[in-house]
This record gives sequence, C-alpha cells and structure tokens, in this order.
Amino acid sequence: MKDTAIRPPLTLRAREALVGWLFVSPITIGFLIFFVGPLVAVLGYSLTEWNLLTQQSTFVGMNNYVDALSRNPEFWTVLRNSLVFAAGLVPLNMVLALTLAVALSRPFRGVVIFRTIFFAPVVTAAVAWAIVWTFLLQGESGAVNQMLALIGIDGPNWLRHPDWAMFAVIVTRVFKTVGLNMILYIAALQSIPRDYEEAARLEGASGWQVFRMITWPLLAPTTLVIMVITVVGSLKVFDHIYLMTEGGPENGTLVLAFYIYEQAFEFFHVGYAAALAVILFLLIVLLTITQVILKQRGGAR
Amino acid sequence: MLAARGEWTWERLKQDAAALADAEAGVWGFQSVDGQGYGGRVIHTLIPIVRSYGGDAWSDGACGLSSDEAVEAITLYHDMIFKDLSAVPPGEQGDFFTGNAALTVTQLSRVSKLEDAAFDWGVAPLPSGPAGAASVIGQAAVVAFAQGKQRELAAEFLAHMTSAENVAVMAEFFPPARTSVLEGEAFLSSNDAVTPDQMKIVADGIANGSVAPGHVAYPQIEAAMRPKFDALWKPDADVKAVLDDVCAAIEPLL
Repeated sequence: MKDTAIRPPLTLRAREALVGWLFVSPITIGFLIFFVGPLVAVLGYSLTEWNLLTQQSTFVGMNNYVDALSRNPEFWTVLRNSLVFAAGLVPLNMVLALTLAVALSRPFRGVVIFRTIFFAPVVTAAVAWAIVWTFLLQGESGAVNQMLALIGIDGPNWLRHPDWAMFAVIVTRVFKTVGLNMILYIAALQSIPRDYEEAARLEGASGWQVFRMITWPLLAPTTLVIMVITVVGSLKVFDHIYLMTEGGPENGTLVLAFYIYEQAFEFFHVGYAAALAVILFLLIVLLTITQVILKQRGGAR
Repeated sequence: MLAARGEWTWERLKQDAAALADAEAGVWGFQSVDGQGYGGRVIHTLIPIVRSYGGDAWSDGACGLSSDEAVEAITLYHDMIFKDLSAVPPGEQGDFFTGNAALTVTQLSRVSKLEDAAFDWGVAPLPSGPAGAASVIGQAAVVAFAQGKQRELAAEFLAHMTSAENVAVMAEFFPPARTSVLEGEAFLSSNDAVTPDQMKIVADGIANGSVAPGHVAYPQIEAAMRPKFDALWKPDADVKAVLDDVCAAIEPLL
C-alpha cells in the first residue's frame, strides 16, 4: 500500500493506456495463445518431418512445400477442387442472399416467418445438416429424387456421381450459409435512407434503375464484407465434405481442408499437412487482399 | 442349419438377399460392414467373399484384388447391388440396426446397437464359397511400441492387459485371442445379449478364421484405393478393369 503512494503517479495518459490494456487483456492473451501461437507453430512444423507418435522431428527445410507444389500431382487436383467449390458457392450464395434480402427487407405480413425459415439453417448444427442431406440425396429412396420423380425426372445418385457430387455439396452448403449473408444484406438495405429512392422515383427512375444506381452502390461495403467471409468460409470447408462425400467419388470433392485433415490425422504426415495449411492460409490472405484492392479501385472510380 | 450342411454359401446369401429385398420400398437384403462398404470399410466388406473364393487382398507385396478369384467374388457383390438390387447401394442409408436391411456382416461389439431392436435377430457364420469357409477376424490390438520411452513398462502393461483374466473381461466385446479363454465356458456367456449357442459361432469363427488384411501402410493403401474403388460402384462398371486399377494404385505401397 505504502509502496504505491511513494511511487510517482503515472501520467493520466499512461494510466488510461494501462486500464485500456487491462480491459482488452483477456482477448489479447487469448489471441496470442490460441491464434498467433499455433500459427507460428504450424509454420515451424511445416519445415519438419514430424512423427506424431514418437515425437521425433527432423528439419527438412522447404521439402514439404516442394512436395506439394511439384512432386505431388494430387495437390493440384485438390487445389482445383477447392477453387471450383469456391467459384460455385460464392456467386450462388451472394446472388441468393441479395435476392432474399431485397424480397424480405420490406415489412409485409409474415416477413418474420420467411426470414426465420432462411436463417434457421445457419443456427442448425452443421453435422446434423450434412447428415440429413445425405439422407435427402440418396440415389433411390432420397426425398429429392422422389420429388423429382413426381415431375418425371430421374435424378442422379447425387453424392456418388462424379459429375453431381460437387454440385450437391455446393448447393447444400449454400442453403446452410445463405441466411447469415441475407441478414447482413437486410441490415444494410434497411440502413439506406428511404429519401434516396423516393427522390429517384420522382425523377422517373424504374425499380431496376433505383437498384442499379442507388441501392447496389450503397451496398458496396457490405458486399465486400460478405464476399470476403464467404470466400474464406468456402475455402475452409471441411465438415460438409467429411460427412457427405469423404472427398469422393474418385476424389471429385477432395478439397484442401479435407486433404489437410487426411494427411495429418490419417497418414500422420504432420509436416506435410502443416505446409498445406500454410499454403491454404496464404491463399486466403492473397484472395482477401485482392478483393479489398479491387473494391477500393472500384470505389475510387 | 445351412452352414452345418455346407449350403450356407455366398451364392445362397445372394439368393436370400434378393428374395428379402424390395428396393423400391427401401427394404434391403444385405448391408455392407457398418454401411461403409463403399468408403473406409470396402476391404472389410469384400474380403470375406474374396477369401471364400480363394483370393486375398494382398500377400508378400503383391496385390491379389485383380486375381480371377477376387474378380469373381467381387462381381457377385456387384451383381447383388446392381442386378438383384438386394444390397444397400452406394448413396443409400438402409441400415441393418434399424431394420432396413435383412443381413449384414459385422463385429460382436455391434450387438450393443441391437438392444432396442424391434425385430428378432440371430448370428450366422460367414458364408463359404468355392474355396471353403473363410471367417475373418478383426484386427484391434493392444501393443507396446518398440520406439517408446518406457518399453519395459509398456511390455509389462501389455502382459497385464492380456492376462487370461483380463482377456476374459474384455471378451464381451473383443473376442479373445487366447485359446484358453476362447474355449472356456465363461466366454460363451460373457455377453448378455448373445446366447451361448450364438457365441459358439463367434468362437468357431475366431478359432478357424484368418485375420483381416493388414499392413504398416494401411491408411495410405486405403486412401489410394478409395478413389479407384469409386469407379466400381456403377451399374456398368468393368469389374476386372477397375480392380486392375486398384492394384496398380496400391502396388507401390505394398
């Protein structure tokens, strides 16, 4: 007690900074331990050949990266699958999210029910969602194909057909995640002042013109955020693949995150898996930066 | 009964399954091991058939899956799926334990899933084939690692775990490798859900069976096989050609 009294008091500024740091310390410490720590560790592991069982680790330099990029043709299949998944999921998800948001942002009778229906999958457990869909998408007795049969379409064996499996996982994933993007868009739409549209309408703008010239540009910041989180989420997809196709058929849905899991926890190629994880991380960082830059250029125009 | 007369063959099982199945209604005659016969457990599903036809997955570094015997055996299963429509096909979820498939191949420990079964069930030995009976034993094991830090202690613990007394305790779920326990009366009544007569079938299977294919690089082999095997699960698949592909994929690992 006496001690503190003798010490020269901190300046107001320093004291405020200290208090500030104390307030954010739980999250900062957590961030360092649970995010920065593992990130650095993965970088380290990726330069080694590490036997998980015997804890023996040998430094192999960039060998794991060379393996992935030039010695292992499977890697390119996997990377292509991941990009196909993202290229399929992102546009579909965003167009659907925006369409739903525009339709459901105005108050009408029952709007809450519709919003709830489309948002419900977001709060559903991903595992339950994926497993239920494997039942719905069964080749013979699946509900989807039985409904298609009613209108005379002989549906494929969705999850086992090389041409349809990727499509099926993309669509089910879109329905799982589109609700969140829809809510973000609804919030953004509702924050656009009504006056703009009213003014444009008085000038004789059509509904499409209002959307194209006013709503869409004003949604740009939201679109960027949604695009970034959707791209990142699609590149990290694991649970759907693991539960619905296990990367099959014929490696048709073998995406990066599942490949990493397989390498690390089925083959115990920990070093190689760590290198793959670093590659995935760099890919995501690169794509995110590209999107932000493209958006800024677009905005400056 | 059939087994005692030597008539319980895979051919017979195929006929029975076809008679019991009604694919349109989602009622199946046969389900692969844990329903994972088109993924992680393809080998566990196929090997009992393949061995009863005189083939094997691999031996001495050579792949046996494209041998004439294996092709014949796997063709039988392929026909069950795509010609008879009696085996739960890939992408379907017909499950033995919920009563949607009449027959399955499984392990003793799965009996616990039948506690609340709304149907009567029984245990039969694995069917035989042209090369005779071919019971297959699983490969769960307790081991001590040669590279471990406490090798002697681990070995001692291993000895303790596998003493006659402890093997008898585990026998309820893990059929014992010790002959003394396997042949003992206690084993026959070790699992409340299984009658001594049924347990006798299990015991005979272990006494006369051979261990499922194993390999130090099994996970890699399994992963190399998986995408190749996918080509088999189509109605018009060329079984021999697909199995040649499977062998080409795994031979470097054997």
